[in-house]
Amino acid sequence: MPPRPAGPAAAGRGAPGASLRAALALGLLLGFYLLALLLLVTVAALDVVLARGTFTVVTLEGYVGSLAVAWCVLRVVVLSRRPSEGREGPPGLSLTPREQPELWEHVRRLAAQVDTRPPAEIRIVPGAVAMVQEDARWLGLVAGERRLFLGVALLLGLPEAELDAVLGHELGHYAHHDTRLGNLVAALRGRLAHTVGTLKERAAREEAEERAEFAARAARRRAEGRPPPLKRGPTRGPDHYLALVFTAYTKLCLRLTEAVSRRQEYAADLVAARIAGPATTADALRRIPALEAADDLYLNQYALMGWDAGLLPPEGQFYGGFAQLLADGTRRAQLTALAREPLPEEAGEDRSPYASHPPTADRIRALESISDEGPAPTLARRPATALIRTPDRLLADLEQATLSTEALSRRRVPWGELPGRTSLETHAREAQALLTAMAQPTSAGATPGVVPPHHLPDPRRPHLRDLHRLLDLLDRGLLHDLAARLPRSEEAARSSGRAAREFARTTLRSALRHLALLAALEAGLYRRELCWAGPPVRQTAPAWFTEDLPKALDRAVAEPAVTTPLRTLLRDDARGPFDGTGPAPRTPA
Amino acid sequence: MNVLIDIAGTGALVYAAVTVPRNIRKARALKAEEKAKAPVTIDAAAYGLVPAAQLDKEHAGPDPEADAVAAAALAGDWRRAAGYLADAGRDWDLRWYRLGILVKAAVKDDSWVRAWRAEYPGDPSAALVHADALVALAGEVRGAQMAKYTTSEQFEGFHRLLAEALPACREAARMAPEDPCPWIAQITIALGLGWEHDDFRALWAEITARDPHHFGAHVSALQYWCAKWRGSHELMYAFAEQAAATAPPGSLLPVLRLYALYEHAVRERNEPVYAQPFVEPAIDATLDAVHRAPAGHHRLPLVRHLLAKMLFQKKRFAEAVEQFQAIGGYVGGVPWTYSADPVKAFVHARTNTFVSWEKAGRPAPPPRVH
Repeated sequence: MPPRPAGPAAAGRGAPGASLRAALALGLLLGFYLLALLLLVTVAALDVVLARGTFTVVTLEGYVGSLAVAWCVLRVVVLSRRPSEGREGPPGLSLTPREQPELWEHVRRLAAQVDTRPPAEIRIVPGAVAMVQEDARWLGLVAGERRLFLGVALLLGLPEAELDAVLGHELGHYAHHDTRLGNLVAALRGRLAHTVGTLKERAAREEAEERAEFAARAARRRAEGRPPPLKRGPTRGPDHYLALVFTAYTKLCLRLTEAVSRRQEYAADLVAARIAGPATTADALRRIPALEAADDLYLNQYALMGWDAGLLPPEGQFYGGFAQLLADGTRRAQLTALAREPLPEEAGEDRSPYASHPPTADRIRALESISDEGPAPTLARRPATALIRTPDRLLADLEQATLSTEALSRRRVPWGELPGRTSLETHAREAQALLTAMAQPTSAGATPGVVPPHHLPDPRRPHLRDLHRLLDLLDRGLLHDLAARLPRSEEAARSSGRAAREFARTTLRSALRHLALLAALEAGLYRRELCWAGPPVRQTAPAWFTEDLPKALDRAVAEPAVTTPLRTLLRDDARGPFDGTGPAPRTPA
Repeated sequence: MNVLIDIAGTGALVYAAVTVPRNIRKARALKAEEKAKAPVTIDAAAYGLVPAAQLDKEHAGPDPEADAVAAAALAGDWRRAAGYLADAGRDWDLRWYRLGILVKAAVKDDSWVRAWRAEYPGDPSAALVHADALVALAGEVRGAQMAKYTTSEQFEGFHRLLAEALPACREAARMAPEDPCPWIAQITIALGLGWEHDDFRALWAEITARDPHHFGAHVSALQYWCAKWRGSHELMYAFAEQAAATAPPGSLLPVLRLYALYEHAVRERNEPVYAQPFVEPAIDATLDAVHRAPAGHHRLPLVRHLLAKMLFQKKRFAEAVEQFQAIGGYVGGVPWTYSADPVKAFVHARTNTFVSWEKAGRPAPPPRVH
């Protein structure tokens, strides 16, 4: 069963009875096997006709041909069984009634209101989704264990009343036996998609083989000095034609079953409206896409900010940080604006007959058309997290249940330090090649130029010490020795003479810049701070630093090297506390 | 049963009757296509031409003196280079041409320039070579690909060198107030840094105040007004027309129209660019200018390359043959250098010119009316 983005409403369109829908799905599934059987019977009938005549070479060919077709049909329909479908649902954290009595109590109460059996499992999953499943047996005729999947972003982002609407919608699916049928429909769709996929794949492979063979033949003839063989249109095997037949049948099935699915959504929306009120349900429908977008943004820009540097936010905050994002005033205003935006209208012709959900705009219209007979919207907007006992524990456990071992082994850093640490790690990695190059002994040909005795920086600032050691080497005119040990780009490797030296300068300047930024980060001169209002990272550095750094870098990699400006810029004794608030350091005359 | 076999047999015959002639037709069409694609070749030596394998990709034409000076400079003899440049005197375009030779050497290795500048720190010519070599080096680091095929590393080096080149050019200009060359060198900087039109016009005013009909400056500035850099087809044609129309007799500037035409053709490959009405008169004017120019003029080879291409394009084969014969074995000029394989582009035009000329019975070029 496809994940059902949560959603409620509707009127006017009653869902067809469960038995009728079951009959339809069952009929279509049987039809699939019937279609295969029909093909086999047709082939067999042809064989019988052949067998009635005298036995000739043509008869033999007919047998072989019909065997080939029958083999193709059997192979795709029966032999290549689809690997058992993941009926387990998305990975997440199962909550026991003992751990979360309030949430369970709430769901059970709602189930009683809808007059259906409550789920046996409530599982919290990542993302802004909600869906229900039922492990019904015997093609959905016998009820099975029910599961409710609830996205953590909904839990963190929805008011309690709107969460009720979501839960009401999902429980509504149980009440209408949609979930039991879900299995049957899923089996049908899976079967068909797999069959058509296999057939198309085999047909494509056959065609590719034929083309390769043709190319080989052409090459052979060319080698013998003969003209290339004639080009022919590719011949299609039986797989191609079988694929056509089954594709047509699949389309028919999708049209029929998806239309039913859409009607089920309207019916479930109606249940949600009865529980939470139509207005609240409509609000939830509008808010969920906005939450989905916000959750995406949160994961990519905040939770995964330090991913490449091997860092993660603190325990429980990988998903939990979303609450901090939602608590920010600017973000909240953006979300509200997003939820108020008019929903995309889908013109009748654009509407896909294969979509499983009706357009949200239509669902909201249906909700608005029913008279507000549900409970009045509660004024106190309690967040849905109020239903959760020890939310921090839950969020930490959810990480354990869903993140890979590799992810869990990453270093946890407090939110406030995450941007700074990330950039430290990134710059350190970029500067690594240069540090390695510095560690190697310099060539004997280097001229130990007159290097003025420089102030040695504080030993507690290793990056600054590295930078000074590098600048000492540059002062000695070793730029090209160092650059020769750094990895070179393709363009740089192709160049020669002065151009090659310029490429080397560019490479070295870039590594030097990383080292200088490391030293500045270390000194607190240049800071990167987290900003929930966005953009995620706010950089602060004194204006004189950002302005003078490029020039100082240029002069350090010039020939002859002038390293004093860069040393002065990052001097550790000139400004008292390294907060970068002081005046610009002056190059000593 | 026999009926079935009969049906199958008839089917096979019908199938053969339909497919065999079709396949024969296809095979013939395929063969004809192959033949059309086969390259046309001529015996270059029979026409007194240099064979493809021996063509010189570096230069537009022969200049043994320039080669000797460049080799001497790279060997450390900057004095000969200094003399070579000084001998151009106040023929500013010749000076610009010779500067180009020295700069090419200085981009490979500038130790001789540094030696020269160390000995004569106030020599404006040395400063000029240094400055223009920085500009050329920037171009070398960037590579000649379009921006989207140029890496950020290449751009970084390019911009750093241009930023270094600009003050160097200004310093050279300050040292030689009459010389337009330090200003002309800045045209390439303007291209690379994307100067605004007003800034560029101010630069152009400095150049024309020193030499209003400088050939090299015009060719370079035309690039700025191209659509691919900072201008448009209209601005480019206007610039070329104005320069060609006001050029004094004996100037080779009429060829500027052909440069513009070729830039247009390269950019709009699917448009009938060569069918524009001004093309024939522009070619004629350039031919006249070439006939008037003294033999051995340092810009003649450049002009001839473009002229040959245009004459070929307009199917004026007899005149194109003349130009190809005058060009000899050199490929290092526009339009061929715009191609990924200049030799191939040159040989294609040359071969087809001679084949067509042969077919037409080797006609003599029409007499030129001056």
